[in-house]
Amino acid sequence: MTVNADLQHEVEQFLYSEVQLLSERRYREWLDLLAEDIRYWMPVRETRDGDGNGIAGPEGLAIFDDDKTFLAARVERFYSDVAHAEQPPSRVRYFVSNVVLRARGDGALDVGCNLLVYQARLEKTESFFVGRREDVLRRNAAGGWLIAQRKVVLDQVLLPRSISLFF
Amino acid sequence: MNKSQADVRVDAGLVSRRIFFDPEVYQEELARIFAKCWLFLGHESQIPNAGDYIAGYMGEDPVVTWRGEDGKVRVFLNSCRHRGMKVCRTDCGNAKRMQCSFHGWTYSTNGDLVGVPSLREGYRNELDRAQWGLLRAPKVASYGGLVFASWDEGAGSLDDYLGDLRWYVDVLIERQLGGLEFLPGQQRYALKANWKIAGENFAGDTYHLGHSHASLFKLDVRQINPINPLAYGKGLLYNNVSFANGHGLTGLVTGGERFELDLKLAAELGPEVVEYVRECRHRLETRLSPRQAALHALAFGNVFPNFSLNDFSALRPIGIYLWHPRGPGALESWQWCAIDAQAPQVIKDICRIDFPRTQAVAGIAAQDDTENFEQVTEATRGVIGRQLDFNYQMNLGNDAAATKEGYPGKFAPYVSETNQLGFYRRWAQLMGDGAQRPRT
Repeated sequence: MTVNADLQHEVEQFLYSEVQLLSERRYREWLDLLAEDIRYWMPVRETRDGDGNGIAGPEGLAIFDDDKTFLAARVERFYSDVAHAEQPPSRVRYFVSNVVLRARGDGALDVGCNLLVYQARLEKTESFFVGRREDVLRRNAAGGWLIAQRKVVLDQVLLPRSISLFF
Repeated sequence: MNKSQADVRVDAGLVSRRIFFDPEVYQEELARIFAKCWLFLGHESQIPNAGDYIAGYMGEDPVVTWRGEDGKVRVFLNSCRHRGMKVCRTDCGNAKRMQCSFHGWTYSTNGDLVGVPSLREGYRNELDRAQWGLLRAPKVASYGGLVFASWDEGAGSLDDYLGDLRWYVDVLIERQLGGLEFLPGQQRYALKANWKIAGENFAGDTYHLGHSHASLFKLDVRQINPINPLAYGKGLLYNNVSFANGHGLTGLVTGGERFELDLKLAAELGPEVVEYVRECRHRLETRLSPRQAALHALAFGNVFPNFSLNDFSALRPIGIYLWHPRGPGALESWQWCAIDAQAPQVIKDICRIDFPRTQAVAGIAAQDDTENFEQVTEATRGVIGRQLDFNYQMNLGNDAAATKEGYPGKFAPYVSETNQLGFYRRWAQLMGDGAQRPRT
C-alpha cells in the first residue's frame, strides 16, 4: 500500500466519520468499525525520571484493556437506561489531528493521530481528555476500513474525571 | 436554627450535611484526622531496592516513601526545608539523593541534609544541617507489605489501629502464596466530591449496589468474564462488620461458600487453577483459624479514614483505593491492582484485564459512583440544603444481636447502615469539638 495524498485524505475522512459516530452515540455502528480481534488498550502513565514518559507496558496497569466482546457490553450498558454516568448522555466533541500514516508489511496501515475530547455533562460538569491514538487499520471485505488495533495514551497522569466515553 | 448540635448523631442515624461542605470542618479534618490517623501509602513491592521511592500524599501533604540505603522504609514530607519546593517531582523511581531544583539543597535517603550550595560564603558554615533534614513521619509501619504512616508521635501501633479488622484482613494477606504484588502503574482521577462519601461507601454501602449499579446486573456477565463478581453468590448470606476505629467490611460470607465458588470457577479454567485455589485454602488453614480460612476472601471495605479495598476471590484482582481529600468538595482517587505474586499466569492475566473493567476509572461500576458522589456534594452546598441531615436509619435499632460467636467486630445485616454510622462515630470522636459548631 502506498501512502499518498489520496490515501491520507481517505483515512482522515474515515477517522472523522468514526468520531462522529462516537459523538452521536451511534455506538453499535461504531462497533462495526472494529475488527473482531481488536485489542482496545489505554495504558496508565506516570511521571518517571529520565524521559518522563512513564507509559505502562502490556503487563502493567491499564485504563482500558478490552476485547470486542467487552466493548459491546459497555455499549449495551450505555443503552440500558440505568447507566447513570451517561443518563442523560453527555455532550461530547472529538477533535482529531496530526494524522500520520505508515504502510505496514502486512498490507495494513499504522495510523497515529492526536485526540482532544471535550465532555460537557449535565449543568456544568466539563472534562478534557488529551492524548494520542495509535491504530492499525486494515481493509475490510467491502473496501472500507477496520480498526484492527487501538492504543490510546492520554497525556494526563491525573485524569479529570472517571471515564464514561470511548476514545 | 442557631443551636449547637452534634453533626453526627449515631443513635438517631443522622449526619449533618454541613460536614460535606463546610471549609472549616474540612480544615479540622486535615488536622484532626489526616495528621493523626495511620494512612496508607503503597506497597513494599513497589520499592524493593535501596533508593526506590514512590510519591504520595497524606491528606493534602505531599510525601515521599523512600527505601533507604540501609533497607529501611521512611516517609518524608516532600518539601525542601529551605523554601518548601517539592524535592521529588516524579511519581516513582530510584535515587540515592534528592536535590531541590530551587536552590540545590540535597538530602540523603535517611532525610539528612547533606548538601547546601554556598554553605561557606552564604551561611559562614553556621547552618546547623542536623536541624534542617527532611521532615520525617514519626510513625511508619508495614503489614503484609502494605505501608502506612502517621504524623502523630503519640499514635499507637498500626496493629492497635487496625484492631479487630486485622483478623479479617489477615485472610487477604495470608491467602497470597507469593505475597501481594502491585501491578506497575496506578490510576488517578479527580472527583468533585467530598472524600467521606467514597470512604463510607466502601465501608458498608450495600444498599446502593442494586440501584447505582443496576446496569451491571442487566448484562450477561458470564459472557463478559467467567469470573465476574456478579456471577457470584446469589442467595448467599452476607454480613457487614464494623470496628471501633471506624473501619468497615461488607459482604463477608462465613460458611465457606466463597471457596466453593472459586473451586467451581477454577474448574472452568483448568486443573492448574483448581490446584491453586486448593493451595490458597491450605495456606489459610495452616496459618489461620478455621473460621478465618472459611472466609476465603472479604468482598469490600474501608480502613478509616480513606483506604478502601476489594477482594472477592482468589481468582480476581484485589482493588486498592485511596481517596485523597482535596478541599471539602473535591477528592482524588488513586488506585492500584494487586495480585498474588505466585498466582498462575492465567489468573494474573485475568486480573490485569478485569481490574480496569469494573471498579476502576473507566470501569463499568465506578463511573456511576462518580455521578452520584459528585451530585450529592453539589446539593449540600446551599444554605438550605446544608441544614438538613443525611439519613442512615436503615435497620437502626434492629442490630441488637450485633455480635457473632467466634467473630470479632460488630455484625449487622447486609442491608443496613451500621457500618457507615461506625465510620461517622469515629469521625466525630476524632473531630471532638470541631464537630460541635453552632449551626447556621
